[in-house]
Amino acid sequence: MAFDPPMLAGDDASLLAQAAAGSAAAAAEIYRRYANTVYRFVWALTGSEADASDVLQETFIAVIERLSGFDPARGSCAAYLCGVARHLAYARHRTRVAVVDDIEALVDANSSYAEAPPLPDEVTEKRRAIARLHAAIRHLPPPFREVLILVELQELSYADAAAVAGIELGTVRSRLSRAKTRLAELLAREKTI
Amino acid sequence: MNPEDKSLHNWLIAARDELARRDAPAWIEQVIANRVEERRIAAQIAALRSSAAPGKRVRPWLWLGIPAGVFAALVLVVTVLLPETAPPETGARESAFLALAPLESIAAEARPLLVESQLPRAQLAVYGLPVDPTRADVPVRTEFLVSRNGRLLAVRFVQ
Repeated sequence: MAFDPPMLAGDDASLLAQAAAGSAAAAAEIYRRYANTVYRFVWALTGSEADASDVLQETFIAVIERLSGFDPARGSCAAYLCGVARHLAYARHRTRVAVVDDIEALVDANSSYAEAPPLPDEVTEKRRAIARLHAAIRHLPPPFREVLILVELQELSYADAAAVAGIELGTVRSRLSRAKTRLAELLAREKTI
Repeated sequence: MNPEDKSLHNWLIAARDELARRDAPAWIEQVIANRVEERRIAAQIAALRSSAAPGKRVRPWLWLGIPAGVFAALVLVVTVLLPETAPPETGARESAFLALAPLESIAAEARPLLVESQLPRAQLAVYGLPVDPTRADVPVRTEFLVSRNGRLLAVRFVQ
């Protein structure tokens, strides 16, 4: 581990506050707890290891240096960090992620699904299929994609997913339902899955 | 659950398992550790400088937090550190370094930093040094020896 300080016990809010005040031990502990969650979320969102790495780094630096909007009453620390990461990830791809006024139109506009690039031969067929599944998820419109990733792949609660995306609980449910329907349609076109 | 839903459910579980095997690159932890450390040192140096700015109230933690016994017992010349850290001769006369930390911990610092600042002359009395009352409000150039992790090691005054 790069952080030498020993592990700290404590709730996330106090650790975040200590990290913002300059405690290396607190920053280390928060990082150890949530780095993978944030990294996986951004990777699933973007499909890019480089983006996921950059956004992970920017997220923790932003939180440590400019904290703190974290309010445990509004969601878990994982949700808070993923929310910051989501904002940073979209900021990096602003040209690709438009403001969504009309979800229906956006879904229709994204009806074409390009096949994911083939992987090396040594990769098993199952891994290829899962890679295509991830590619299909990334072809979902961003508002659906992020909810599906948060709830189904990262197993966050609906409330946490709502906190990350900044939407109502009911909207999480409806978007998740539509995301699954849309994903099933995309996968139905994939003969190999 | 109908067959289509079950199939999707199974694929999502497989995707979840695959995602769970992706760990954040180890090098990022080092980047963040370095950033935290740099920020802490910068804040400590900024605090030192602001506490010594003319016209500002000196922060009590700097002076009152240092046990009097440290000064009584450890007002020693840290001559071993001077050759590595002293600036080129400019004609100025420096006092000896006054240790603010145990000598063994000072000696253990391989590459301490020398931070220049200014203190109100009246603060010399805190260190048991004579103060000319007629010049009490004139700042005195001060050099702090600071460890790489931002700990105060020693101080000296330049006339």
